[in-house]
Amino acid sequence: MTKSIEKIIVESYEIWRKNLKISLPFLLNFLFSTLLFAAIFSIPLVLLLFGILEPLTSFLLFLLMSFLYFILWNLINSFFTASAISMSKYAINGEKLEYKHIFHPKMKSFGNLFIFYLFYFIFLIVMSILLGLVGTLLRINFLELFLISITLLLYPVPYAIVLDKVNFIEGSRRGIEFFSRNKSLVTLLYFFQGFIFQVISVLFYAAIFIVIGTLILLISNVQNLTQIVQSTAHLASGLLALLAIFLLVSLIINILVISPIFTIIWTNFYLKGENE
Amino acid sequence: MSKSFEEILQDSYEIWKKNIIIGLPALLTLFSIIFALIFLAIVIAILILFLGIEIETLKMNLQLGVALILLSILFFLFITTVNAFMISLAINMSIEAIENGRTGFNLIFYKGAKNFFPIFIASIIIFFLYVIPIFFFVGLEFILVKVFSFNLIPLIGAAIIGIGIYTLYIFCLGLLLAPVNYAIVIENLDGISGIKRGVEFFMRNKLVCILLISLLSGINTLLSIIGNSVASIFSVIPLIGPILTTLTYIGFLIVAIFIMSGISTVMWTKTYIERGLDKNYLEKLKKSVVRSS
Repeated sequence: MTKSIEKIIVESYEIWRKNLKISLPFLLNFLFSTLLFAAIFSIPLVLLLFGILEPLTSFLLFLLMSFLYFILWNLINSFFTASAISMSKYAINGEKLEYKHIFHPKMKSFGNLFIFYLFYFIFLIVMSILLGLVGTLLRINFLELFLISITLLLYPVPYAIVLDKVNFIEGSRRGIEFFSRNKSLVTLLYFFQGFIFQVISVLFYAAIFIVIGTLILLISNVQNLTQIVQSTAHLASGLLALLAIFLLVSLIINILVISPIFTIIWTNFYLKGENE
Repeated sequence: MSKSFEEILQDSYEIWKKNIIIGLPALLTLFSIIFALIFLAIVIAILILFLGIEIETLKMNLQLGVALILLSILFFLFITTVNAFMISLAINMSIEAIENGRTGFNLIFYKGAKNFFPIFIASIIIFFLYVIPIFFFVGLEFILVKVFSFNLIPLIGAAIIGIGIYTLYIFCLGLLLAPVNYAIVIENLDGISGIKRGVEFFMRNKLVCILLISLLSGINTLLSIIGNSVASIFSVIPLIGPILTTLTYIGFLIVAIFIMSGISTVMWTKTYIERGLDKNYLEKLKKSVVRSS
């Protein structure tokens, strides 16, 4: 049997089960990004609320802060992505994962990944705006096709940068080369990942429907108008709380289970694909 | 050990390239449905003209009601018959292509009729599997209405719960029953045994089935996005732009159905032949993974 995608998936799942620490970079990435978001965007909001700044100045400050957030978030994201990919490599090679591995991605890979993501996101944003404008003016819809093609084409690039320890230009070249050598399998894995997210969203929506229905059933034995108003208020707050809980649960599943498994799968796939 | 999934995909693609005609039965089904719908609309219009309907009160007479119900049943039976025949034809063509390298429309009635009846029975059972829960929930709603003395709120609550459960149900059922037709044709089974074997095949080969479903639904999405984008180019042309866009999109849709149905039939048939016979493939794979780690 040559390289088998099934074997890679089953093997990666087993590796994840034996190395749950691999989920930590994803968790830390989420926590730091959220904290950064709260810290950065609270400044213009507080200044506006206390009347220290005028609305226009607040808006300009908000734009500046958005740019700052984008750069800092990219730093955090690149660091933990590099960390997760190199941890996956350690785990695939059979090494025992330790906490120190989280903060020991190769600094060169991290820097190159940061530059790659910077250009990648700027390119995506600029092109989306351009295609969106063209789409609105001429009613030509190429945005979806562009987004799906570019994300698919460049999907292996972060793995090439970190695993081959090359700069972002060489990494992009190798990533695209890897894609063209393994077109069908990269596409298959990309669609498989999409399908898993689709399954989670189906579960998420079904759970929301079931809980909303149960809540409505629970408040349905009300007698008078006051009770109805009270019950509706309870229902609305209950729904908001449940929505938050479901979002959190699906986020946790994504952060702790789906993303780590897929990172191991892609790393494993890249390593096996490169060796053959 | 049987072939890896990539080898199955590669082989299927090569087989499909030499036998793209396998996509034709699905197109014929589509055209039959369109013609049946047109025919149905004409018959209904004639019935309304002759048996009459009071537009002001929207009051139908009994004869017209019975005629409409009978027509719907006939329409459903016609579609299921055509679909079962075409599925049997397409899978038998795929088997022939896999075994001999080539297939064609020779012995069309033999290939179509060979497994037509079991597929027809399985389709009816599957239809009821999809529909019965709806009747169950509607019945539950009536009970709730009785219990809560015609209060509308519990009715809405129960309906929302029903939608949630039904979404999960049809999603799981769609996955579980995906290999049923292939089980019937490849293993020459009757309808009920085919459903059992199909579900058994899915349960034994969950990963490969989900990979296949992911790939095919992904390609479907990609094709529809490409179709949308290409068709939208014509919208810049004034006056005839929208007509050209619609026509291009319909043309693309027909080509997409032709390609997708052919390729998916060959892929599923090949996968079923490779994996349906190797009953312990996943166990062997897991053991080989454990051994290598």
